[in-house]
Amino acid sequence: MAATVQIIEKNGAGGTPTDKTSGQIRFKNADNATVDTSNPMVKPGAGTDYSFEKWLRFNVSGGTYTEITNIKAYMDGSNGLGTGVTLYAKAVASYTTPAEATGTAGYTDAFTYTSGSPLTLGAGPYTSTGEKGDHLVMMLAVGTSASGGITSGETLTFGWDEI
Amino acid sequence: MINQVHEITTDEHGNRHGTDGSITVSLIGEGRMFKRRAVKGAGSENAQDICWLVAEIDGVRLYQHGNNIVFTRQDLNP
Repeated sequence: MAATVQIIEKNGAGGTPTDKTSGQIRFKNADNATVDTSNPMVKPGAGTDYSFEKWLRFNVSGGTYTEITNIKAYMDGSNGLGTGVTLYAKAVASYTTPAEATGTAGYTDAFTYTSGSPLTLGAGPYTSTGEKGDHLVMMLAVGTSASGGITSGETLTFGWDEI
Repeated sequence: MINQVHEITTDEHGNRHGTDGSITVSLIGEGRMFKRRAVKGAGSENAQDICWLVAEIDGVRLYQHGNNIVFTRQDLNP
């Protein structure tokens, strides 16, 4: 038997969860899980346009397992979002309502987290169902050298050990 | 896309056996066996649920995924 796992995006004051395991995550200038072109990121004339934070979390929705450990997240190591577009990430234990980022303090370039050097979200051990480990908080920064349009997708991986 | 998740069992002698339904890895005696799982491509339509079987003795690990087996001291991730 195995755990049934979701990757959820949380929005609003109450952290309303949306299953994003196989659904797109759209970085935008609003706090919602909707994949649309409303509230788009804007290429700035000067400075940087920061997106609202995306609060993602590992969630065991069912299945049978004994113990989960070593929850982690990582990218493929190569930023394919295009010139002037940077994705940042950090681990945060407690949820707060997603806000528009104002800078990169506390964050690290998400593409520095790779399979060989992942971002740790929780050692565990964890049992039962529900949300486990820290939140993965991500935000997108668009600079003046960015091109317009919707960027290519990128590969985010959540990993864990299970018995 | 969901790939086969391994099943780990323990026999009456305390030995562990992990299988993906096609290949079985047996760990005889001391050591540990676990599943290293991942959702690769989370947040996209191309998301894949990947499962590696890991057997470890004294810091040396055997990773098995499909027909591929890696024997190393490194901590590998899907």
